[in-house]
Amino acid sequence: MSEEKPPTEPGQPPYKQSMELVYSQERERRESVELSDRELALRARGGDAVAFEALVARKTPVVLSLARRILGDAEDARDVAQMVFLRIWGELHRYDESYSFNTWLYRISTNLAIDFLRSSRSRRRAHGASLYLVQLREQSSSVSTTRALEEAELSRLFERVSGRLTAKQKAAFVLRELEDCETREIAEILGCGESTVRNHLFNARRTLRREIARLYPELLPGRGKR
Amino acid sequence: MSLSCSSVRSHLALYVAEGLSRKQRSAFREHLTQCANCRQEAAEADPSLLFAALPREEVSAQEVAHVLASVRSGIALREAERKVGVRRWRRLAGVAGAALLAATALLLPGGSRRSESPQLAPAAEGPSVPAEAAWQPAAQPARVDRAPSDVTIYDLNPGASRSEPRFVRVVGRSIDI
Repeated sequence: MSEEKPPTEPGQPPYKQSMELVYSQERERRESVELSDRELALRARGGDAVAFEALVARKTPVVLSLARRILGDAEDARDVAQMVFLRIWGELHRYDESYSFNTWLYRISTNLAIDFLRSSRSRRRAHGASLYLVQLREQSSSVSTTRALEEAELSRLFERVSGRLTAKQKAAFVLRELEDCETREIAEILGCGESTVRNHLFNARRTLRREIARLYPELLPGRGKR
Repeated sequence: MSLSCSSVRSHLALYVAEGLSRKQRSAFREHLTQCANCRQEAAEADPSLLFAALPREEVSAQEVAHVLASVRSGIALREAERKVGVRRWRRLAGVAGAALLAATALLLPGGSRRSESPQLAPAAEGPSVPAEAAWQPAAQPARVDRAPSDVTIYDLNPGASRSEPRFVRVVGRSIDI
């Protein structure tokens, strides 16, 4: 920018210094990286669109990952992620900053994912995923230990055997095992008591054990084949 | 915090019984993702522990951008629906108000009522309540506490004192730096 000041004509603004940047969306976007989730949420509640988009970009991986594990389908997970952020945008005025933003986000994400899971469309797709896993098992020559399983195969295995879990059991198990949430947090997210969460986890493990032993005994070293 | 193989094996039952702290659970899982022998032992002890080594799903930048774009579209659609709803409501309210006044004028007998209640006179001629209130400029410009988020603002005389007028130039987002 030139340091020479333009000539001042009558009626024109007096130039004292070089032009100074007052507000820039790009600068605000860069600064939002340093803000906490709660601060971004409060700014978004005040109408700051840049803060809201920064929040969406930051939290999408968490929401997508959680939704994918609960639903077992990437496309459904994307639909749920969109619904989650639209719900947050519409209900930001209800956000109580004395509570953790993450807990609120998890609650909305889990509830919407559970509702989606209960719909017949998700059940049909899960059935499709289980058919794929049956084909995978038939094609493999020997599966003797977990070492042989790739992480993707382990994911598909989970999608298959977790089909027997209730929506709340599955959500509690995913929040515990994959998101590493405490029992108290899971209780807040699911809207139930801590003892109920422990029951969900206990029953989920029992069902998973039973399903794995029934469907894939070859995965368990030392156990006989069917 | 890292755990040894013997430590992991001795804590298997506690892990399943939800008896470990968050830090311990995290270290337990981390060990299982790295140690095949412990994974095997854990699966033998409890098959549900197969999933203790399940990693979080990876999400690409492209997927994040896709979700962000879909959220933007959703918000724009809701805003548009809300504006259409507000305009439609104002129009309906205006028409309903006019219809009510006209019906009242028709039901009331003669001019005596009109002279008693002068406010009914305009109703006889037609609806006086406009569908939308005429725009009146504010006596003073509204104070803006927050800059609009879709423009860039430059101050042309940043050293101006409080008594001097401020001159700013507002440019579109494409000229942002």
